[in-house]
Amino acid sequence: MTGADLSPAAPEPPEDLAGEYVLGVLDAAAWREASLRLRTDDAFAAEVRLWEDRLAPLLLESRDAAPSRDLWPDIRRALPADRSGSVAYWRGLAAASALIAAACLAVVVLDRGRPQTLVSPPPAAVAAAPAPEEPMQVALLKPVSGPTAFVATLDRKRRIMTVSPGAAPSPKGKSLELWMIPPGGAPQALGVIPADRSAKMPMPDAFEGRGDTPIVLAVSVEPTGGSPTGHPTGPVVARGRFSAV
Amino acid sequence: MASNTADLDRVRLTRALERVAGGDAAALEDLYRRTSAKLFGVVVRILGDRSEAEDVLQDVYITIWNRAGSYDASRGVSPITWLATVARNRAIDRARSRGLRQTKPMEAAADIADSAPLAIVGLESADEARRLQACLDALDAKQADAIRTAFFDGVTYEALANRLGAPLGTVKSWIRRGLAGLKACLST
Repeated sequence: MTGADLSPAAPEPPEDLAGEYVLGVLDAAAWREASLRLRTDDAFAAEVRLWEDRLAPLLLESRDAAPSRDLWPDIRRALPADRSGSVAYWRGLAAASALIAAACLAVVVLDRGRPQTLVSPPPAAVAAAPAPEEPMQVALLKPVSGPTAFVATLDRKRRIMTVSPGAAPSPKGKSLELWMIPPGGAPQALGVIPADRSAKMPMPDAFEGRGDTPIVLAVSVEPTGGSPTGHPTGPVVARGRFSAV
Repeated sequence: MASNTADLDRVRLTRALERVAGGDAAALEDLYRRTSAKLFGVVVRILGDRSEAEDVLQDVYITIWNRAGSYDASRGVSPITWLATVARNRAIDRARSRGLRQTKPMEAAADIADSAPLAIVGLESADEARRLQACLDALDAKQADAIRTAFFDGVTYEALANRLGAPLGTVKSWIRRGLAGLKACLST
C-alpha cells in the first residue's frame, strides 16, 4: 500500500458518480441515467468534464497506429456541405426558436388581455427568426402497415431524445429494443425501451448537426433485457426517421 | 529545445482547432494529418478490431468538425488531450452500442499497448501525462490497475471483476479508493 493517505482500514469511500461515469464502469441502466443527467445537471456535467481532464492524459500512452487506408477522403465527403453542422448554427437556431416562443407567448398574453380582438403575431419578431427548421424534430416509427407504434422527438438544444409509445406492441416475456441505422451501416443499439411509458435518452452523437437526417430508427423484439448479440435478432416492429416539424 | 517544439505543437493544434470551428475543411485535413495516428491508436486500443476502429475514426473527425468550437484552451487541457478524449468517447460509445464487453479479438491483442507506460516524447502534453502517472504510481497497484483497465476497456464493474478475478465489491472499492486518491493527488 503506497497510497499514504488511504490505509486499508479507511472507511469505504462514497461513490463518485462522475468519475465512475468517465471510467465507464457503470452498468447500462446507471450509465444511461448518468448520460441524461449530464444534459440536465450543470454541476454534474462540470464534474464529468473535470474527470475527463484528469484522466485523459492516460490516453496519450497509447501507441500510435496508422489507419490501414487513408480515411481522409471519406471524412471529407461526409462533412456537411455548409456549416449547418456547427455548434454556432444550432445555438443560433436555439436563440431563434426562443424568440419565436417569446413571440407566441406574447400573442397568447395579448389574446387573453383582449379576447375580442384577433391578434396577429408581431411581424418584426417573426421576420427576425431566420430558422428554416426547428431544433425539435419528430420521427413516427410505424410497422409496415398499421398505426404509429412510437413517436420519437429530438431536442437538439438540450440534446435529449424521447421515445413515447403510441400503438406500441407489448410482446409477452420479450423486450423492445431501439436501434439507429446509419445509411449503408449496421444497426447500433440505443437500448431497451418500455411499451407503456416514455423513455428519455441522450441524443446520439450521430444526430449532431444534421437537419434532415438519413438515419433510420427502428424497434425490434428481443429477448428480455435486449439483444444478446449486439445486433437485432427478432422482428422489426416499427421504423421511421426524423424530419423537421 | 524540446519544450519549444512542444509549445509550438500546442499552438499549432489550437490554431487548427480554431480554424476548424470556423468551418475551414483544410484545417481539419491538417489536423487529421497531425493527429490521426495518435487518435487511431486510442481507438484501436479500446476496440481491438482495426476495421471497426477505422469506422469510428471517421466518426471522431466528424465529431471534431462539429464540436471544435467547444475546445476551450483556457481550461488548461492541451488540444491533443481534448482530441484524444473525443476519440475515446466515440470508441466507448461504439463498444457499448455493440453490447460488447467481450474479450477483444486475439489478432488485435498484439497491437494493443500493454499497461506499462510508454515514454512520451515530444508531446506538448507530456507534463499532464507525467503528473497523472506520478499520481497513479502513488496509488495501491491494484487500484491503479483497475482504473487503467476500466478506462481503456470501458468495461462495467461486473466485467471488470471477471477480468481481474476479484469480487465485485472489492473491485468497486479499488476503483472508488483509486478515484479518491487520484483526485486528492492531482489537486495538490
